[in-house]
Amino acid sequence: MIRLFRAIEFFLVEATVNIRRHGLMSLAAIAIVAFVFLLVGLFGLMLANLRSATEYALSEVTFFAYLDPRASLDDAHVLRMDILDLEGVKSAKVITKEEAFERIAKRLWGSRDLGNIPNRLGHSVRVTAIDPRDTLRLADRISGMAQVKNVVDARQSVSKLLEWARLVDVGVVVIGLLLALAVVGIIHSTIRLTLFARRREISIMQMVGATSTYVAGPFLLEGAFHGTVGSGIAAGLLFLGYDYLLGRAQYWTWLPLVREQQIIWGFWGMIIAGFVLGVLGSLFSVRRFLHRPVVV
Amino acid sequence: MDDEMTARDGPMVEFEHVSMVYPEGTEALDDVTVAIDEGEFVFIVGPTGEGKSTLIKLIYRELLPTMGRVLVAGGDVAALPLRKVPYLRRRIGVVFQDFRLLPHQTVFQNVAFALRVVGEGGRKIRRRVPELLEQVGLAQRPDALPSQLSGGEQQRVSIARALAHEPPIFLADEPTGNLDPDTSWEIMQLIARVIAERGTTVIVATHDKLMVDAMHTRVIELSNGRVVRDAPEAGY
Repeated sequence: MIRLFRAIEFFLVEATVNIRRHGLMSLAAIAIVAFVFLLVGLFGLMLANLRSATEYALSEVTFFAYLDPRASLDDAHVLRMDILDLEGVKSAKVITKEEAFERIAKRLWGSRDLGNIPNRLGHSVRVTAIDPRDTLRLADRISGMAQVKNVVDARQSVSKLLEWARLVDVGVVVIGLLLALAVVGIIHSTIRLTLFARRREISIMQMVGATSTYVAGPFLLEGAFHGTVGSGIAAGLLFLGYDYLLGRAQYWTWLPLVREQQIIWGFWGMIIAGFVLGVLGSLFSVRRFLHRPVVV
Repeated sequence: MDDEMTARDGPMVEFEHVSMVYPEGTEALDDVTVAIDEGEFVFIVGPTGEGKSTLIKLIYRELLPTMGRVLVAGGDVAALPLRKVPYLRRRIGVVFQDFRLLPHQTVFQNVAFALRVVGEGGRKIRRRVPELLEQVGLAQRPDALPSQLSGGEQQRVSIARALAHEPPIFLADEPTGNLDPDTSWEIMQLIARVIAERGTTVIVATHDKLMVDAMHTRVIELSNGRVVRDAPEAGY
């Protein structure tokens, strides 16, 4: 245990000395990491809002099951109960043929009163699925039920929305991975420069019998520092910026932005990712360096 | 290997038909077979580029032989797992012509560095470093930076650092190459006194003729990577 504390003390002291001695290089690394994470964060915020908008649009997706015009209102209520029994149905509401007729009349002629025009519409049931992705499956299922004349399911719009949602998901993964690679690359290069600058010291350490852990430890800490501080700065700036935007956007009803509370994990995730990628970046550099012969 | 180094029979360092060819094709050693016993003081001599440094590097496993075996305390260094190499090196003190000191650290810190990097505690460091500096005659200058020291003093610091782990083997690669004759003599006397008197096996690679002649001890001469002379109590 004492040895572990000594090792940690050694890593901390050496990493601090190194960061101070190569202050400009450290600053540059932190600035670049912060910039990349700022891009990651901006992209993430855009995607989070896009995703939320898509989910919202999908949650609004409903479809109608039209009954035969000869079916009674009781038939419509029976159908509604049958639909509610189906798995995955969030709500089902009966629209009477009178309500439907009034709506059409209002939409077409701007008046509810159509005088002598006979109402040949049937009753209908408006259905919403719990998961919008189940809409088409439910529509197919309901179209086969008794008394149902046809189902209008906005098939094209749902497919497009689902496709869009999938695209957003893939985009998150692909661009997230690319940006993560960029962060690893930046920290890898910075630590490699530091290692080169300290090659004499490292060779002396190896010569006097330091284990790889002792040689690598300070550099891993340094990488973790660059990654965490860089991503922390980016997360802080993004949080403040987004908070400001939310303040301004509270009256913009056309732009329902995601609240900070819903994405706070994203800011913490950025900081943790900065730490992990920082350690990974320096680990790659140190591993390659440790396997070289000891030459000053 | 640690325990074997302290109580064992047989040579402390042994080369069995060792050849060393560098990746670019330079043949540094060719079928070298020598045995050096515990407590021996041996000079490896020969002109520059004849394989002296290569021979030294093979002992502390900076290099691996292309053919043959290098045995330290009876153990084949090539067979040593990578993770055990640091423990071998703690049992071998090494000094070089260019001293290899950390320029931004004081004399005390340079010597303490060898102890810190192996996880020694502050109390031991505060006790051990002054002892080492006393042994090499630098007890009065613990706070000096390497740039404030003469070449001879810097080599003394490097010797103190090499002795930090009380190694049973001490290697020196051209330790007086950057020093004037008087200082060279002082350094060699220091090595002989402080190290050889403790029963340490000392191997010094040099082309300093005056030094070798003055010490009058075992000399192994290399030429074109081969041992051409191995004589006890000889001159250059």
